[in-house]
Amino acid sequence: MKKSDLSEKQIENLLRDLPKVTDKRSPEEIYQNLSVKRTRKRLPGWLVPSVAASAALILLLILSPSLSGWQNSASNSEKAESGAELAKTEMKEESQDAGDSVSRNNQMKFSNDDSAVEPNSEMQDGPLEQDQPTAVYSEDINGYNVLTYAIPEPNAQIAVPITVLVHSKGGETWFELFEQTMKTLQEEKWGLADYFPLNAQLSYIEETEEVHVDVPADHQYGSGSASETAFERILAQSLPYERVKKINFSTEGQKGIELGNTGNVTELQIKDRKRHAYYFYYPEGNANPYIVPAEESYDTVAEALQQMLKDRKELGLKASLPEQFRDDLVSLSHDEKVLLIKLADGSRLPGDFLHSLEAIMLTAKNFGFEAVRLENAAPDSIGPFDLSEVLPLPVGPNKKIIEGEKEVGE
Amino acid sequence: MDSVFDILYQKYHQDLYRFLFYMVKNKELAEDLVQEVYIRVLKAYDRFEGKSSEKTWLFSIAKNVAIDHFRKQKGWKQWLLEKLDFSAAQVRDQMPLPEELAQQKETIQRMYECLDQCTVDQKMVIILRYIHELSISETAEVLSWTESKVKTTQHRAIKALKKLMEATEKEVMPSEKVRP
Repeated sequence: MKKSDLSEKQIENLLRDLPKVTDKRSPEEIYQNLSVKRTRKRLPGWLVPSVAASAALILLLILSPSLSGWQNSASNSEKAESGAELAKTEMKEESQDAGDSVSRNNQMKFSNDDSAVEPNSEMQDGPLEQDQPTAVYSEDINGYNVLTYAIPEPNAQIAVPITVLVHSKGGETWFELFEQTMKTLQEEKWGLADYFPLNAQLSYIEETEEVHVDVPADHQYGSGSASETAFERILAQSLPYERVKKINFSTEGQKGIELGNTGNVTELQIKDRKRHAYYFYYPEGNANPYIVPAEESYDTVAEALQQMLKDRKELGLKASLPEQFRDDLVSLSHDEKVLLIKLADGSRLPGDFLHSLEAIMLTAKNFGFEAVRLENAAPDSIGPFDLSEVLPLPVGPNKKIIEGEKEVGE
Repeated sequence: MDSVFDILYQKYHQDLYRFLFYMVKNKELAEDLVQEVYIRVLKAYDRFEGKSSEKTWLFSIAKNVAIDHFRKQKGWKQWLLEKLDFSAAQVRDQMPLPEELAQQKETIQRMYECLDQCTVDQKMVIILRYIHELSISETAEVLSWTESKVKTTQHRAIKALKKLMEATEKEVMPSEKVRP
């Protein structure tokens, strides 16, 4: 008792002497964890709507016979028997004559919900192409020339980058080939909007890396703000930054182009479009998605990947990573060239992960990586990819091969 | 990296970490919780009005994170026990001492142990006042208390710690006295 008579002052001093415990992690490590955790936290928020969406879909499937009877009173019980099959064709019909934007919106919601329950896509179209990759890989090139065109989808909300493989007759410059190929694009067959060839005279000045675009006086590119931004965006995304830094506009030889809201535009600087997240875009009646970048740029590949867990409804884009991936992903790390994706022990990638993997690879490429590696991945392979190996990144998204009549000469 | 994160990290990270560490006495847990603080801060940073200082604002978020953690982690039973101030600490598993503490002299280690037996309120005040050396008014701001509540809680905490220190010393003394 005697010795232990500590004064309050002494207690206070003892407290002040408690050691300064420190966190030894680096800020980078903390930030990385943070990025992963930040979305994990949000899980309940989007889990509810997606569960609700799946439930709604199941209900829809159950009710679809009677539903179709509703909408089309002439067709009753016989039609109803063909059930879900019918509901699908019905949807297509509906969308085709969807003139006004309201019904188009409805339809869009429809198809969003629909693909929220992925396995369903088999119903929409032949499942045959399911395990084919969609992007262009170096082994695909095989003597082809590679060109990229940004092509708007029918609602002109987004531009889908299409990597076109085409044979050259030999001797053309890339720009000549770019112009020639522009005429052979089959946008509508690909589920996109007819846009090319452009209603304009194009020329390329190699020294200054500029493209000159001369439109006729009656051009339509300036009517309505949608088509005007589309025009600029499509040009900017179709012309490769490595070769073109600036676009100059003229109208029948007179400097500038009249673009609705923006007024007279004389030139457009092309930005190095980088650091985007890639999403799925399902064109009408197609089981395979196009893999499409959204406008936003992100600081880290981790942030971009997180975004890819979520649909972008306003753009009609679907999440390109399954929700399960959020929990399977343990960490991301990288050196200069390789992005390492570490998955949880015992995790198993879903059977339809092929296109998600492509979306990851395209995003990684967009962030300047040259390869990705998955650690702890099961199964060992997905589509043609051996997951025990380092995977080189694709050349470009959304492959289309043109063996057009025009080139057939050789 | 997010520039807001960068700034916050430089200025406050170790402080926030230390606060949470002394609250939960577990390094890994404190690491998790400090991340939770960042998540909340980054979400709300735009809304920070500058009514209080940035530092007290951050500490108040850290305090909320710690309290939420206690509520969540412990079943209601344990939370209740703690509230009723049973000496639950005696039953609790002994956490291994972090190295910074293992190097300290015995009285400091004992003080560290005694902290566990304070109530959550007392602990918060003690940590903010003595480890972080916040003023009474800053502490009041962090905890959204009045200054007089800070003062009385602090006073009671010191008294309680004094008692605890004396009591634990008695336990130690006999065995030490046997030897000479």
